[in-house]
Amino acid sequence: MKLVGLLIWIALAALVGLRLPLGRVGLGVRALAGVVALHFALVAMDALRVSWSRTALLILAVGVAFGARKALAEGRDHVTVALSGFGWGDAVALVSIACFGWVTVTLQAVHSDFVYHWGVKGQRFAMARGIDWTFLTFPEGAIFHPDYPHLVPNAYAAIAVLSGVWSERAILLTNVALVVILWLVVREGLARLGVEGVEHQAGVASIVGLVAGFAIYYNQAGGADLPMAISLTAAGLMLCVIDRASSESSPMSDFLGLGFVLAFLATSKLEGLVAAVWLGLVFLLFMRRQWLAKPLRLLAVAGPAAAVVVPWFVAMMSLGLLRGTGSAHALQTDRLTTVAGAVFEVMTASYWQMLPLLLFTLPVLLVIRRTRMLALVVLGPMVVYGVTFLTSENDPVMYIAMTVPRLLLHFLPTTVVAIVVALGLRERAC
Amino acid sequence: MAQRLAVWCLLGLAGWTTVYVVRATVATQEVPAASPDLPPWAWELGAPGPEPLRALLREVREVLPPDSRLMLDSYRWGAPGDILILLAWVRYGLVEQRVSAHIARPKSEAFLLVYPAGPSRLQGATVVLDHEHATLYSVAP
Repeated sequence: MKLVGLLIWIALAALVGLRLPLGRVGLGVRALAGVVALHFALVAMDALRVSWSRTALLILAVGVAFGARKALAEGRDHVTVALSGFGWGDAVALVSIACFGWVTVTLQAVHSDFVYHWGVKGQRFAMARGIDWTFLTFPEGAIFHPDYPHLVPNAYAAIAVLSGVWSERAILLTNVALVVILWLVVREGLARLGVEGVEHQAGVASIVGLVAGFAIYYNQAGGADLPMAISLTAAGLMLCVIDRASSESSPMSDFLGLGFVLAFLATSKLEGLVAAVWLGLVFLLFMRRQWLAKPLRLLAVAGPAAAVVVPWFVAMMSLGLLRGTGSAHALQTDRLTTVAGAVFEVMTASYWQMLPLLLFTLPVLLVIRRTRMLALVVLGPMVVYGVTFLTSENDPVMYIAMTVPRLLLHFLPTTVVAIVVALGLRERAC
Repeated sequence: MAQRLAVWCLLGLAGWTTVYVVRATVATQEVPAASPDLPPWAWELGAPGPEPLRALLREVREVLPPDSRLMLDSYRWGAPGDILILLAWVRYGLVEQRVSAHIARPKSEAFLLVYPAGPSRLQGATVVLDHEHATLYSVAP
């Protein structure tokens, strides 16, 4: 296992995140922003026909590091803030992550999608030293989902190029690193929302434990569902932070932080793109007409996502790779009981240990003012998935058995954040 | 009182998810140990292992090139009758490669994707074996 590429990639993401003008935004969201910025750099290099050679990537790294003394000094402050108040919940969370790391390194949690989808694309991109458009447009390419956004395979490719070798174990550890980022995101986000003490520690342990546990049980090393779930959670927390401070008094940096997280979400998976659009609508709903008075805030939220989604969309359209979702029928309401039964079966399956039953708290969370936004964040994509199952030409039971276990991962961390905020916040805010 | 109840609810949730992680890790270890030394025919000749898995391996062998060797690495069942994820090593020509079979049942649609283990081992092809059509696709670089 050659970890050097992964370590350089993580260091670069953190450094870029620290150099972005994100003010009080914590280290976790900054790291996600750094990953997005690096993805944008790779896309730009590919568009300009600059090969992702090791030399080019190292020049990029040196460029990022150049004059980074101030960023590093600020980084020390961010690390100090990020790790302040370390408690038993953090320890439990880190042990959970260590368990995921161990089963990842021993190849006990390899996601099948890594083998035939994300991994193979990452490897092809690494070999091509750029996005391998010829490979994506190959007639048998449907198996690789060539229409999906490229943040995940681009990151895999860059890590492999920086390492000089395609090391599966090192690449698979990318998702473990992202769960570490989730840990930072959650502890910083809950703290900014005013959740403190034992409630804060219990919340951190619950959310990270939920994600790590499912990642182990259901082989989530090497797929894009985990990155999507993490960015959706981060986006929900950022929305809540902005709402709590009232969008009037929130600094511009918070809006930009939200924008980078939405960009990560939109380029993680096609489902992430749908969720990002929905979150944008929720943001507009809660800001009401303020964005008309302060359009720069709207630009800060939408700009990063547009910067990474537009080039992908143009490429997909020009190559004819957007193939739809397989939904070919009109709404078939007679499927409702079949779909509900199949979904409930997945929710109570052993690999979830009844945790999806927490989704039944969503109606209550929707009523509570301080968790309404988080409940809406979850409910939007949930409705979209439900409509897909009611319109798909696929056998619904089979379709649900194959997809819903992972789709539940998209919703549950944000739902648990909402539960923690509902139960753990002593003041009436957010 | 309500605040105390809320704290206990959160502590309960934290405990629940901690047990979840432990159970998940233990369940992972219950998967038969991966052993690259396992003779490729062991499973087919009735070595320990569920009958459906051995039957599947026989199916998988049918679509592999005749000179290939299949060695079980690890496998995981999904829900009963649902999905089987099989990870194995295949010696394909001179290159030992990792293979995943993603079997959706009962439709019995299986495919294998074989790809090289690293750029240094690149043989210039990604091979997709479609079980249903018993076809071998060789994807040129």
